[in-house]
Amino acid sequence: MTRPAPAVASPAGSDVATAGLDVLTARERHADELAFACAAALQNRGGHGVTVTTHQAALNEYQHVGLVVEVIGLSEEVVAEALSEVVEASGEAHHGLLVGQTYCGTIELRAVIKTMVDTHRSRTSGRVVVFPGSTTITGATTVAQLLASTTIDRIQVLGHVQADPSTPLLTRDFVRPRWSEGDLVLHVQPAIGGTLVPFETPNPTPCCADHA
Amino acid sequence: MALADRRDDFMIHDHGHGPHDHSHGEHDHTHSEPLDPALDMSVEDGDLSPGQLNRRGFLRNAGLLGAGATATVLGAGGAADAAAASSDRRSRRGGYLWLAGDHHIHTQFSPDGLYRVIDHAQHAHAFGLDWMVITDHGSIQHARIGVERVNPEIVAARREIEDLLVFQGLEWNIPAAEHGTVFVHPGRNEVAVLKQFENSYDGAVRGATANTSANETLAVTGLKWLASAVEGRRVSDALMLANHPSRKGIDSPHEIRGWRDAAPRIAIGMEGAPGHQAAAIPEPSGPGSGRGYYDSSPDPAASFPGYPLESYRTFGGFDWMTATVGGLWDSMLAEGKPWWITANSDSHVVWADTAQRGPNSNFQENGFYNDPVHQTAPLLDAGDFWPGFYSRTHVGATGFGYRQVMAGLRAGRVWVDHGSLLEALDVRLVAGGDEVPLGGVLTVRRGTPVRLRIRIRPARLPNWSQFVPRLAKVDVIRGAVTGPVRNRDSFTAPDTRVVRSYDVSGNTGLIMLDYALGRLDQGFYVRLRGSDGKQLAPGLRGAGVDPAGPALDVVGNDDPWDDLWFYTNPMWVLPSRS
Repeated sequence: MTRPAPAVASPAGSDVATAGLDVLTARERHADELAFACAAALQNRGGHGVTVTTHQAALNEYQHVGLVVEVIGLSEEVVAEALSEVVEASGEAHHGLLVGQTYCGTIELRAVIKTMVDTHRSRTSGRVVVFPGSTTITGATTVAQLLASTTIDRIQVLGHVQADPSTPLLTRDFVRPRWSEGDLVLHVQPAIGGTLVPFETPNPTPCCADHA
Repeated sequence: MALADRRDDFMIHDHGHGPHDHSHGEHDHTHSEPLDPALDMSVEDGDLSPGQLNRRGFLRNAGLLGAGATATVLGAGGAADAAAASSDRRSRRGGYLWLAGDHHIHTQFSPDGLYRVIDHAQHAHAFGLDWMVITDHGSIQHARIGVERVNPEIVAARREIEDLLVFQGLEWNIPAAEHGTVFVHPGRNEVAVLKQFENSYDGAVRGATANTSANETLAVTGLKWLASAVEGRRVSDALMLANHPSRKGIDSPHEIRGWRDAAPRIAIGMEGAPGHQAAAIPEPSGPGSGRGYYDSSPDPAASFPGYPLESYRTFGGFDWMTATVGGLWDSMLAEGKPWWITANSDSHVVWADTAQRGPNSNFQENGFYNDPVHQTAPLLDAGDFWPGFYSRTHVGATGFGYRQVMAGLRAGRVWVDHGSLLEALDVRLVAGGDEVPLGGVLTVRRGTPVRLRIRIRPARLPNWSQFVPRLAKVDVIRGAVTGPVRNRDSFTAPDTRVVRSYDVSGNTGLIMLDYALGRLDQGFYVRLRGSDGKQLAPGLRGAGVDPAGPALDVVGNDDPWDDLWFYTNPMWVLPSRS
């Protein structure tokens, strides 16, 4: 997929503040809610280019979801203050927040968050909930429009099929690209009527769903 | 019409340098081979000649299939009759009675179920099944009520439909993993054993669903307990198969290998194709979900992180582990250990059926829903088919019976199809004057020529969607036996590929294919796959590995009748040590 010139800033410059936070949630949807709260708190303080990524984390054997937040234009102190509010509002007893080298929270979580942030910097894993342009891609769009209006680097169709840039893409208002080999990649799958939809379903069938 | 337009049989002797077509008239090739006494476990060791005893000892010690090695070739004798040409419901082919079945069916004793046992049994029987397993979900409530209350219903169904084998089982919440079928041979302890197993080892009952090593150990302990229940003769037999293994990415490769190795006579395989095959019929005619309800994405709290996103979808209706040539299933077969695949309905609520739960049901209180009643509107948002309607697991049995079905499953004499794509299949691996059926292991000297003898009879009669499916291609898949893996989480078999693809479109008679596999050097296995050729795509490991494999199923737009496949289980050939 050839990438059009980016229309929005990507948080890769030197003035990017990076934070890791963990409230030991095992539910990805809960992590998504926290991601939106983080973005709002940072944007309210004038931050821009906000990217929030969810990562798999493990405290001993407890597998769960943590968050890595990147923002442009705010000092680490302001970022810490904004994200502390989110963590506290979550009401979770055990939590941790690492901004730059500054950590506060449950002591056992510090290493977990540090590992998560280090992993994040390699841009090889993680699922992105908030990213520049993410609020603009709702409803129906095209592959080309998606690439032009967001920091998504490329799309990848499941099964390694090639997609034409003009292919209609039905976002279902639920777009979760992933970091892969340094790129922000949106995985998509063929859908009815020659369209594409993101790989992630907004409402996947729960285990033992009742269809009667 | 189907009978009238039957064409000449189709025959290829393939010696690796292009097919030679021979059109022959109607004739069937069924063989009657005497059973090698070394392989017949009803013959005591002391009654064998030194040569036979040596051969039996080798098979036992080869470690390739352990005790299953002999079982896989048991019963190769018996009079093969001329039934291959007949339309008898149950015909012996190559000495086996091929019995179609389904090991994954839910009733009103499941919180997401609806039907009586007899509803499923009547449909299964009408749609041509010979055996079925009732597998309601394990839960505290089911362990307390359902596991006992369902038994008289099962006993009554056995009595009501004499030529249908109805097993009692349960859908086990495998600790730290997905669901699995566990079922036992009927007998006076069938309920007691299932109940004790459920109370002791079900992930939901024990609060042991989380992905921890302690819970993984509990799963293994449960399988060993089942093995001991059989060894101690509390039940005559028990089997476990992993259900919808890739659906949520939570059956890691090391867990599957762990089940297999802990109890190889109990944990024998997995669903090659999940049930819920109607789930991707587009709205408003169907649920518009993923085929098999495979529409999930990785769960950071539970999924194995190594699985690619493709693994969360189906391919030609089959689970990624099975559908990927050179994928997880092949990586297990390349170890030289048995692990079989099946295809089932997972029937809970049937697409376009006109029933609803009985009025005034209180599942929470009672542990079951009241008997279903009629409703006018068809259930278009249901995603399942009746047992036997679409998915079939065909087992080569030495006779009609519970014991024989379980033995055939354990031996891997199993092939599966969707939409009644085939009427019959008999495949043999032949070398050095010996041969084995599906699931078997041949042991011959290095340098011995090996060939594959394939006999397939495509569907002659219409299926349950009222059309005669047309088999278009047959693929031979081959992989080297490379021994036990060092990394138990590995899920690729780099050597496995499609080595021959036959275009058989237009052939409605007996298809006879002979494929020369060369002279034996390194041990290898072969398995077959075929389809109606309607939905093809290069395999996930590249066109060089699988040029025309099953295509990714389109979520929300997949007519299961327009994409039909069959798969066989593998056969191995190994060099003898001399």
